[in-house]
Amino acid sequence: MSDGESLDEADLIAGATSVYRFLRRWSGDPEWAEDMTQETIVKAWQSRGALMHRDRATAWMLTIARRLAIDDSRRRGDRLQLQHDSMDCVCAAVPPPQHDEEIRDEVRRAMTAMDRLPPRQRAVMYLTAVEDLTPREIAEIMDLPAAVVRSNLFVARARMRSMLSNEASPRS
Amino acid sequence: MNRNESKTDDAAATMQDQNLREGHQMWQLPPSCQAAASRVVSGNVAEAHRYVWNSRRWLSAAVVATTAAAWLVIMSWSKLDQPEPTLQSSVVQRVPVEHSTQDEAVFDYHIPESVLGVEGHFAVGMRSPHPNIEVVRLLPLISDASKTVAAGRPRYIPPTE
Repeated sequence: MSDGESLDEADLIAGATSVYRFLRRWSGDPEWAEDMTQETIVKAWQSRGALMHRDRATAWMLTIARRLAIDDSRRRGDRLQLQHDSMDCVCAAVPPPQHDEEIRDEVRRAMTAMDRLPPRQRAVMYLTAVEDLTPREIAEIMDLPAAVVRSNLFVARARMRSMLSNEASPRS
Repeated sequence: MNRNESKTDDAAATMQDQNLREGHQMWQLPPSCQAAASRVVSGNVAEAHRYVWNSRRWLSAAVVATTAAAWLVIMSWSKLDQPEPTLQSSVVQRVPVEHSTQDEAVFDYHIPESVLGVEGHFAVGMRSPHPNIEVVRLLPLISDASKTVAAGRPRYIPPTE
C-alpha cells in the first residue's frame, strides 16, 4: 500500500539534501545540482503517490534525481558523469576547522581517494558510505543489477584501501 | 583471506565510510531548495514549480537588469556632466576622422609634447553598441608607440555630426 500521501516537508528536505549532495558530487557543479534538486523536489511531490514506503523516500528521490539529471544532460548534449578532477569539491567538503587536524587530513585523503575511482564505482561508494544505502537500493537508483553494485563496491573499497595505504606508506 | 584480515578490512571500510560521511556534511541543502520543498508542500505545485525553477533565473535576470540600469544611469550622468576624456580636452584636440563608420568612430587626438613627452597624433577607435559610448582603444599614429596613452574608462562622446 502506498503511503506517499503522508510524505511531508521533512521527508522532502531530508531526501533533497541527499539528492543535492549526490548531484553535486556527481557533476562537480553546485548550481546545476541546485537546479536539479529543485526539479527533483517538485517531481517527487507530484508523484508521491507512487512512493511505496515512506522510509525509502531518500532512495526514491535519488532515483528520480538520477533520471532527471540524465534527461537534462541529454538535452544539453553532454554526457553526465562523475567529475574526475573535482578537487574544488573535495576542499569545499572538508570538515570545518574545529575538527582535529588529523581527522581533517584523513577525511581529505578519503575524499581524494574516492574522487580517483571510476565513475560507477565512485557513485556506488558514495551512496553506500555517505547515504548509507543498501546494494539493492543503489541498484534501483543506478538502474543496475544488485550483483553489479556489490562487485563495484567490493572493487571500490579495495582500490580505496590500496590508494590510502600507498599514500600512507611513504610517510611511515 | 583469514578472519583477522577480514576484521581489519571491515574496520578500514568503516573508517573510510565515516570519513566520507564527515566530508560531505558541509554540503547543506541550499535555501532555494528548502523554499522549494516548503512551497510544494504548502501550496500550488505549478506555482511552486515556476517559482523554484525560475528563482535563480529571475535572480540572474535581475542582476542583468540592475547592471543595465546602473549603466544607463552612469551614461545619463555622463551626458549631463560631459566628462572629459582621459586626456584633458584643454590639451587635446579631438577631431572626427573621415573613415568613421557606424560601428566604430575614430577620432584623432592631437597630443602636445607636454602631455606625453612627445608630440603627435593618436587615433582613438571607439566601438560600442551605442554610438555615443566610447570603449577606449588607442592606436598610436606616431612612431613612439611606447608613449601610448593608457586606455581609460568607457565615457560619453557627443555625437560627431
